[in-house]
Amino acid sequence: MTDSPKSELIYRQQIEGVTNALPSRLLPVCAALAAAVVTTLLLGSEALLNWVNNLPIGPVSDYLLQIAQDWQNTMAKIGLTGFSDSIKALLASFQLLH
Amino acid sequence: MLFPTLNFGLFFIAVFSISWALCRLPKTRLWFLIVASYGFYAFWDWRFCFLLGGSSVFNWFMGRQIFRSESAGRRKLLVAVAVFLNLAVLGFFKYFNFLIGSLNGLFEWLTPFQDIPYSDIILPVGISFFTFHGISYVVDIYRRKIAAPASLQHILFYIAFFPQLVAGPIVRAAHFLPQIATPVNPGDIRARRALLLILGGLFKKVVLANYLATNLADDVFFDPTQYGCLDLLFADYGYAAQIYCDFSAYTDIAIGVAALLGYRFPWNFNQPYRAIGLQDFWQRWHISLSSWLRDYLYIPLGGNRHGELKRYRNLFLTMLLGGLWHGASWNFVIWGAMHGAVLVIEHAVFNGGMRTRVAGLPLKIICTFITFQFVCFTWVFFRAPDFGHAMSYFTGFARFTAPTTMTPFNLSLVALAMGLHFLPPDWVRILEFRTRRIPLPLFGALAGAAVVAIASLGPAGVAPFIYFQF
Repeated sequence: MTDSPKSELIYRQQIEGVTNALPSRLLPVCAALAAAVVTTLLLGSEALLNWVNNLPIGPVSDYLLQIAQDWQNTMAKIGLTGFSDSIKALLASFQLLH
Repeated sequence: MLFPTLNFGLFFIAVFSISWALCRLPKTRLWFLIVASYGFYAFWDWRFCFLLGGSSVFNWFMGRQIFRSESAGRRKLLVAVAVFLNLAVLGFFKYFNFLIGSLNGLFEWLTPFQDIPYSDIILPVGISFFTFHGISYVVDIYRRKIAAPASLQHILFYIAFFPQLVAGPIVRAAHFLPQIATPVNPGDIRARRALLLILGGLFKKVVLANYLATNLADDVFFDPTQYGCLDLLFADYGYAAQIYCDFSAYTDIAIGVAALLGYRFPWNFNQPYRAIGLQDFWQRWHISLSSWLRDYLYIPLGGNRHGELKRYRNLFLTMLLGGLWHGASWNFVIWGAMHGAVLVIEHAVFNGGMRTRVAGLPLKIICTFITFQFVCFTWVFFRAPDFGHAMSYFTGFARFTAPTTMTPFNLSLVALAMGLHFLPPDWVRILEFRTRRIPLPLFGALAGAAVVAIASLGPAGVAPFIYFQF
């Protein structure tokens, strides 16, 4: 004997955000994420320094701050901070338009 | 821990690495993801982890009781108790002070009674969402949409999984539990789509939503008396763009993050401002909430099964309660009531079939324009802190002064946010297809550069997502 509700309720299928997306294997995905992290570290050294600056003060954060500062100086010497700086400059000039 | 922060980036990289390292040990992997999700939640307030855990255990227990119960009456009683207690907890945290305020207002008017003191209650982040997940589970068990009750581990994971924990999308138990029961496949990670969704979400939140808030909507809504009609109108459009960019960004990132971990979440937004009517709008805006309200509120109220009048009543009540769900304020009640009333009118006039009855491009453009204006009109109630603010916003439309907020930058932000609505509906899939020949590691490197570009474009700091408060 069944005691299910009288009228059958059919749920509308929830459409998934990754329906028909291309599948990838784990190894290339790991390589992609590693490449994303490396690129972020190379081009976003200033953001990294800002993040470390906002960490609670302590011996570990002091040490990290030193590393982040050295890293940022190195990236500035190579010219990789120019990527972020030029985007900021472009945006600032656009914001000043009236 | 907000998605567009380095804290979350580091957290996610660690979770991704460890969880996939554990992919041959499904149970251990799930336990790890549960611990990580509780850690994610503890970043806001660790005390509420007990509430989250308690809610999960309670719903797991009630699900088992409902499933084991033989008699229909007992099953009905148990599901009613489970739903009531879930809503009671939600109501306590969300509406207690609202109730006190309303009662005090009433007493002040009726009698010289002393005020009832307010209680210092903190609203736990995401309580609405995990409550809805709990209700979805017990009701799906009751309706026999789930073949067997889930294990405690699966329920803990279903309710606490961190990408959807604090602001959705609301994933139905019947949809997600089978995914949890199936071991993840390391050969089928939808990484390209996931990265595109995450990047799109970051751009919408960090650049569009943040600037629209700080440059436009926040100032104008804070003191609308300082602005003329053109600024007020523009700020209203700006807020419409902001809330879309903010909320859809969150769910896009959540879908992408879940996909990278091997899980599939439902789509939550489908270019809502191109809707040709309000019914169409609600099939495009916060889709997981509107379908949840339909399945777990509108249909239990009777749906369209007892004649036209009761159908309209149920529709109106659903929208009214949907409005109240957004927050303890009369403004949300008004917002819900207005949407409910217009939905009823739309159903009555078009018999629920506006999409098929509105034919021809010119008519569709007119309907889209009218729908957008109505939605923007109601956003004023949604955004204004109280009824008085909303009224001073509207009275400001009678004041004409030269606009000060319509800078090229602000106009571009609104235009860009609106432009997203008129791209092909499956533009993410098209982009994914067009970039399929780029090797995945190079794709990742480009994604890293895009993240830096987005961070450079955005203002300093990231405001919390709007829907965290709900």
